[in-house]
Amino acid sequence: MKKTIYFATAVLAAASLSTNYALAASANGTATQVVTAALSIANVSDLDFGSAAQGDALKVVAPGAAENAENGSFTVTGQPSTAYTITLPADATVVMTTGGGGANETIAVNSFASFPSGTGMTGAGGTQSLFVGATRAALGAAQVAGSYTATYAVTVVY
Amino acid sequence: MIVISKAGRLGVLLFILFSFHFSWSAKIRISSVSDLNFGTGVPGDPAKNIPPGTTENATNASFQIIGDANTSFTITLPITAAIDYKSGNNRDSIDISNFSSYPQNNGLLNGSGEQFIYIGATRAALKPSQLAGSYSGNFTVTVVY
Repeated sequence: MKKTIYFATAVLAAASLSTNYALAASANGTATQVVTAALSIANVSDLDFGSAAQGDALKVVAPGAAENAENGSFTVTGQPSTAYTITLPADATVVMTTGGGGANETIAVNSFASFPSGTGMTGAGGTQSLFVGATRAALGAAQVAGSYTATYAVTVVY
Repeated sequence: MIVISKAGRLGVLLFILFSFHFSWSAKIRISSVSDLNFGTGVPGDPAKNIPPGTTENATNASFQIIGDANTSFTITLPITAAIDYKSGNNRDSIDISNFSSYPQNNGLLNGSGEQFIYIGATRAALKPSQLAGSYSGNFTVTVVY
């Protein structure tokens, strides 16, 4: 009887010890993330088609390569020396209006172009100037006299 | 005298059982194969989760486990970790949490005594003031038979 108890105790002790016994190993992994400065764009000057009379032909303002009296300009700020993509308004999406924007109170602005074109690159300081031009439609013979304005969006993305 | 002799027998029995256990169990080993890659983001980006996936891919981390053939093991992942950026006096960090693995919780070594496990986690949202730079940090994965 005593023998049996000792034997059972021994087996139980050995079994519990061996099940508690563990072999373990650890390894380090690495996690990484690159954070770049957010890209922002700010308007500097307006696209100015100047003054014209009824019946005038269409007018093209070239984007140019530097600030001038007519082109629109923007400052793009972000990660230094990093390329970004420029998106300009599509045709038939920007219409200047005066008054209520009714008959003879609208002028279409199409064929937007930019310098740089398509893709820009921020400088070592993280900024770049962006110049925008477009084409103002011909003015109708009955075009209502007045100041015409519209807003347009330029989008930049890395 | 009789009692001492019984205790002696018990000791021998324990020794035999232990020896058997030791000879039968090879050490388990784990080594890192690929990093957890959260890619590129800009300040203000929302939190980003990388799922563990079920095979190696460009974002998940992977580890190779080697040990006894056809033996299951338990996987322990960190609760949280941090990745850091430091340049001169400029330093910043990003929290990593929600670690997950494939297989989940337990793995099973194959007939050759090997298994790959895949790890994913969630990177906290990037603060609007998050410093630009390359962030990196370690996390520990433990496997136990």
